[in-house]
Amino acid sequence: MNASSLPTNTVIVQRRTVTMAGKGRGVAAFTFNIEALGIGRGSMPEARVGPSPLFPNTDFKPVPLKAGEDEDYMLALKQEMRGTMQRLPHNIKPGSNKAEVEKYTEIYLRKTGTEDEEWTPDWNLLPKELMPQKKKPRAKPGKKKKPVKISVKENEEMLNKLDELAKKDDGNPAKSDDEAENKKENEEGEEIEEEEYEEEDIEEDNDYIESYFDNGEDFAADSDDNMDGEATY
Amino acid sequence: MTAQEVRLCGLLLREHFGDVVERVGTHLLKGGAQNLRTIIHETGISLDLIKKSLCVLVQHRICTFSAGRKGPGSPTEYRTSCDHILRILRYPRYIYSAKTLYGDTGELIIEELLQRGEMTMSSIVKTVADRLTQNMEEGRSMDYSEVSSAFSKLVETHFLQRCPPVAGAGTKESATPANTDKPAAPANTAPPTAESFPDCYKVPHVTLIGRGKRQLSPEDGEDQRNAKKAKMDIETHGDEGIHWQVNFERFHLHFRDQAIISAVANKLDQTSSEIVRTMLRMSEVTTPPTATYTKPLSANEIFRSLPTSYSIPRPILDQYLTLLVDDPMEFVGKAGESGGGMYVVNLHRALANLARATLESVVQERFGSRSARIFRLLLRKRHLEQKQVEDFAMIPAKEAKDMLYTLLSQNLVQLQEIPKTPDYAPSRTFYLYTVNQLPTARMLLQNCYKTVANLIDRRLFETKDSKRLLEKSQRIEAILASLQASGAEPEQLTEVEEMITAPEKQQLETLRLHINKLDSAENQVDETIFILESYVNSTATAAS
Repeated sequence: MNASSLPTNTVIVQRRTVTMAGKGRGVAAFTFNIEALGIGRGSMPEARVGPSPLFPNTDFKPVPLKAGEDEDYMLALKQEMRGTMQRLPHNIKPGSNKAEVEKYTEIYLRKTGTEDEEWTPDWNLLPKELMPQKKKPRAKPGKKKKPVKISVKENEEMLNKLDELAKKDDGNPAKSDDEAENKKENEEGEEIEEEEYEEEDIEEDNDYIESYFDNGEDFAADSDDNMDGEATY
Repeated sequence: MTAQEVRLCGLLLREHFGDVVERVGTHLLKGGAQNLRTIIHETGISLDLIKKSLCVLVQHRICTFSAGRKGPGSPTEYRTSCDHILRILRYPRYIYSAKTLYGDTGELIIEELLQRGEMTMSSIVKTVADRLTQNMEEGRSMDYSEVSSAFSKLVETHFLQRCPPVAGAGTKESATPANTDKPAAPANTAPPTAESFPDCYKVPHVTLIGRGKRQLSPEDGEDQRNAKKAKMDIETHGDEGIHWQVNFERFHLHFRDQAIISAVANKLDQTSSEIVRTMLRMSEVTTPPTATYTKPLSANEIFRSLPTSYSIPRPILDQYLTLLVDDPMEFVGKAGESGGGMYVVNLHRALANLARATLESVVQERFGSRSARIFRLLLRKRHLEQKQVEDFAMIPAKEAKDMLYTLLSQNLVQLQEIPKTPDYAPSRTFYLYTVNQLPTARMLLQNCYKTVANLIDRRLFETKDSKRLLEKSQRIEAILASLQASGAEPEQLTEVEEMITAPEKQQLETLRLHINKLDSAENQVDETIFILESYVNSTATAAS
């Protein structure tokens, strides 16, 4: 087999396949004149029997690290910087589970540590969509009842909500992907949406109570038959 | 964006900014430019956490945003790149060079800026003055004007620069002069560089009169009052909206110059290195950052600008210059004869030689000096057959063969086939060994990234192992500090200290030793990374 299509650094592999081809005859047989490569038949390196070990023995140990004033200073700088950056408000921790009993250490650490201000960046430098949405106070009590009255089935709630929001020319970020272009104008809609989600969670507990105060006009919408195709407007 | 780079960037982000930012950052690295919705959808993190993380990333200039690709109405896209994150490794080096150049004040300015990404001049000056006052003795405080003058010096030498104005972010500012050569074109894919802003090195007129405040140890009741007072004290100083950032490129040029000067000092002698240092200093402002060589300087100019402590007579200077030009390292070249001889410093060639020396030293330390001899031979003679390698290196055939094959399997040496016949018959083909410097340098650069990532991993593992012990010692230190602050007797202190037993102290000591070693190793691998990166980047710009 010729080496026309092999990459340049696989001469070793080529030799292995050649030896395997000649195995039947007991002795490594090559299809070419081995002397041209400058190696004799007895001086072949051992064929590999598996992947190289993960931690091979090194004959040469690594050079020791430089040690001096500069290096010590930079080491101190590095450790300080790491510590400070972990304490800054830039370091965002996922919602930490507060222990029920506050640890004794925390009282001491709070006393000695510095107070961490909430960091507010300069909004002129950041795109508008990254601003956290301020919660506007809810002014329309009527809206509260609608999501509450709907029965427990989740998709029905979703349908209702989608239809409400469709009125506000809005897209649900988790569901409709074709609203991608209007993302910027949708901040308001998103915010109201988020609030509705939250208020739903609160009011679901009171579900069975508030259903007593049934407003006559929504009576027809409640029945299950209407929920399939017709959305409430 | 190789896998090793992404892994290292993830570890660095996690160490400095937390887990959430790490996930967002690695996602951006792997996925290219994305808009907010894609990020939310694919990472599954909640919306406000992602918003906060993106704010942090943009603030630290790791992530840039631009208008989307589909037109002016499309959502903004965010992109990051590995280089910005990998610079975090080099932060101690930046701070240390600022200290050597501009003293403690400069050091603190750079440190604050690196920790916070970008800040206005007034806030920097105030914070630094407070920190300096903290460390001074009682009754003395740091004046704002001293800090401002240090700040202006940093800006003059271009170590600090203004942040470029951002199009499409928040409300448009009319206070800062508008950058006319960057129109708000929707399809503008190139982000504005700081250099394109004409006023990027102009210090604004800021009235800052005052001294640093010493932070008193707060007691519980007063804390609230102080905090309220501080909030009402926020005055505007006339430089709102003008943010400053560290000019990393300038620091890199400084490091490169330092590397060249120390190489000359090692190879020749101190006086030659002073001459090269003078030449580089004179061409600091006139040479663009990507230049192949500095602007030609005449021997007369060099003679006049030599530092007075090195008063060497003119003919000696000429001899030194001739020596430098004739040196095979080719750091200095002769560009003409006018003015007593025009000399340039060959920047790209110097970087290439430094990288080559690094490669040779790597081979020597990993495979021994005889393999290094073969490697150097191949670097100089380009292509050699196996027989020729044995003859030139003067190594017996069997050992030479072994070493060559080891180097080949490690991919440090490549095999080039030259066929005599079109059918590539092995008996009728020349097999030549060769070393390509640039691909080998890239490969070693990736190895360095992997090394640093492994070092960080090991350090985190060691810390995690002894987490309980570390927490205990932290607790005890906190108790000790509070006891000392409230004036306790020595018996109480010793009692608290004895809460850590002797074997635990031993364990803590070894842990501290290990962590220091690993940290120090990271710093020093970063020096190698810098040289290899500069070399690779210099060839990239030369080729384009």
